[in-house]
Amino acid sequence: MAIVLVRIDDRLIHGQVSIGWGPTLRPEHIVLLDASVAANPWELELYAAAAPEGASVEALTVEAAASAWAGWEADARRILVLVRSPRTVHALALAGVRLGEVNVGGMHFSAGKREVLPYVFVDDADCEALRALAHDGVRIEARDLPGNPGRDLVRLLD
Amino acid sequence: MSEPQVHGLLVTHAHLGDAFLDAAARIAGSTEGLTALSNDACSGDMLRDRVQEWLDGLPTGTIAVVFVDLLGGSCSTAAMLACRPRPDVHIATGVNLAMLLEFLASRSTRPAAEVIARLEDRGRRAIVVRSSAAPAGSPS
Repeated sequence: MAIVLVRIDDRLIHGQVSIGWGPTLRPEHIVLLDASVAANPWELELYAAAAPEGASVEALTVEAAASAWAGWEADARRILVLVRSPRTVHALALAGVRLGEVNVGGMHFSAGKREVLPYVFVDDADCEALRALAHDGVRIEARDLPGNPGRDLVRLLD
Repeated sequence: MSEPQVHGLLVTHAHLGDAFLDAAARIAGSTEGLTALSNDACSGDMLRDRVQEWLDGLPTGTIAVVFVDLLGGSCSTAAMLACRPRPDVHIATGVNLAMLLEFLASRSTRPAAEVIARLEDRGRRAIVVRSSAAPAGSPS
């Protein structure tokens, strides 16, 4: 079944992912593209405990994920990929990964960011990464939960 | 030597923490020693930092309890990340009103270790699922 969703969510695995998206996506494996979690087994264990029942979890750097991507696309498991930031997704694209669609589920407020949607706040670097992805043909859909309407995020940035 | 003070922080989704404080105040009269923090608009890192700031603001020697609503949610992850280096901090997940009322009633009257020990028991004892035809406590 391969990769069922690539999602930008700065909370990684949490209630919306496990309880909100879990029954729709039925992920069997979750990949956290996060260098900090990849370097900290205790943090990985914490996130793994929050995963939907039956889903395994691993954490990788962008470089390692780019190497593994083709294998995931042919994988029999349903794989969910989570990243914290659009800059990580852009780095993935620059590393040679071709993406069709990216879900934006949670980019929360921090200093210097402006609100685009109640669950999406961006700064200039975020906008640059999102626009670059869109320019390369990646559809960027903002949707926090599967039952809510999706929005073309790049059109909302202007 | 006097007993250490016990302080509590409710870290919850949306307005749940404030609602818990409101409900607890109507029953216990006071919610002194208990503070609410919402995850609204917070990234995981920001929520962790806010929990950390609250912990850092406590008087030296304080025992802290961080109550969270949903094990595996953003609140429990942030709390666990913030509290990991602190052996004087306890995390109570699946918070309910009975657990909070026990905390408020005992934090000033019982030794800290006893306060902590009673929380899980009180919280669990408040959960009963029965058919409406069978009174609580009757054999199933």
